Amino acid sequence: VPEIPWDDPSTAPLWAAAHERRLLLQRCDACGHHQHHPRPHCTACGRLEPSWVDAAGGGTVYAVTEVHIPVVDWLTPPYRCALVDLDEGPRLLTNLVGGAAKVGDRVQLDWRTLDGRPPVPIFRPEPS
Amino acid sequence: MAELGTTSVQLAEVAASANAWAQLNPKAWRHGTVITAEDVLASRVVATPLHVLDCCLVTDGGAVAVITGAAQAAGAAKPPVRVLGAGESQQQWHIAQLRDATRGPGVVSGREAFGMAGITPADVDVFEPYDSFTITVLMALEDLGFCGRGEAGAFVAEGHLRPGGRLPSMTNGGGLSYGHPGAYGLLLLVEAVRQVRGEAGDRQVPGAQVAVGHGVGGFLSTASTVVLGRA
Repeated sequence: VPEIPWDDPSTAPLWAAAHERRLLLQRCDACGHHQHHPRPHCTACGRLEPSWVDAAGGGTVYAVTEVHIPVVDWLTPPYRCALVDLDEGPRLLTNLVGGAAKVGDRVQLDWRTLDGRPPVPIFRPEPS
Repeated sequence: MAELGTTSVQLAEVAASANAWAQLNPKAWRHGTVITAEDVLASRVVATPLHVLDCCLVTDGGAVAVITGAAQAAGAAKPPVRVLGAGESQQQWHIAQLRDATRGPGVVSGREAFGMAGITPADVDVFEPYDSFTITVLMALEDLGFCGRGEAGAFVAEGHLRPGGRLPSMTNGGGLSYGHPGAYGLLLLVEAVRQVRGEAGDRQVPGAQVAVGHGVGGFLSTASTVVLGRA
């Protein structure tokens, strides 16, 4: 696995917040568009310097697969890889834990830390 | 699958269809190794819903295409094939930026290529879609308009991609059963040219006049469609 630049200037606030178990999104002050991953401009209208806001943590599974082959040495198969639509709009490529959530199921934000890496946002089924 | 009702059996039929062509091509990696839909479903799971036989081969290989003007081509050793139309598209890059997983970049590249060629899907005699995975073929069939949205799975299961089918596809055996050296797209064009020239041997589609090659790259991010026809 190549060394990942955890915090370049555009992502440093995201990783700093992750250490506090907060998932930061960007929200455009001009048009209200939410986006993830961080960029210096709004991908909807082009306005520079979108604001940072906390994700509420709720989402819905858009797609999910259970991976059965080893891809990286720090994730032991089988594990569930998913696209989750946050309630604010952005779609995250993430992992699902704690049950077999299906497409359309509600999930909520959780965090995982591996091998001293920064905490990464994962999701688990919303309690019913 | 959740949205359109596509089934694992329908996906497996894509691999079985490609494999049926490989039995007609002595150069195919899986020539002599028959794979049925049942074999696909019984093979080990890589990432649900895809089994290892839903995934293309990993082989060596290579291809070259010579592209020139009509005047130059007139004196060439082999009869030329004309580029009737071409289109390309990038829809997103990262998979998380994919807005609708049931519509790929082929919607735009196909519209451009078919428009330039002045044809519709009904005019296509041979289809060479990039078959990185079985699902890639179903998306190509729908993106390019050979099938309506959500209808490609049933279309394939009826055998239409196989030898003798309504839309002969992956006629060299495809990345699934012929070979897959990574950048497979040029091999799609090589097979399309052979079909239009009528030099495809046992796997020749009778009277093939128009062939379409369709490649997808990145993470279902980009597509390129080429329409080839007799000069």
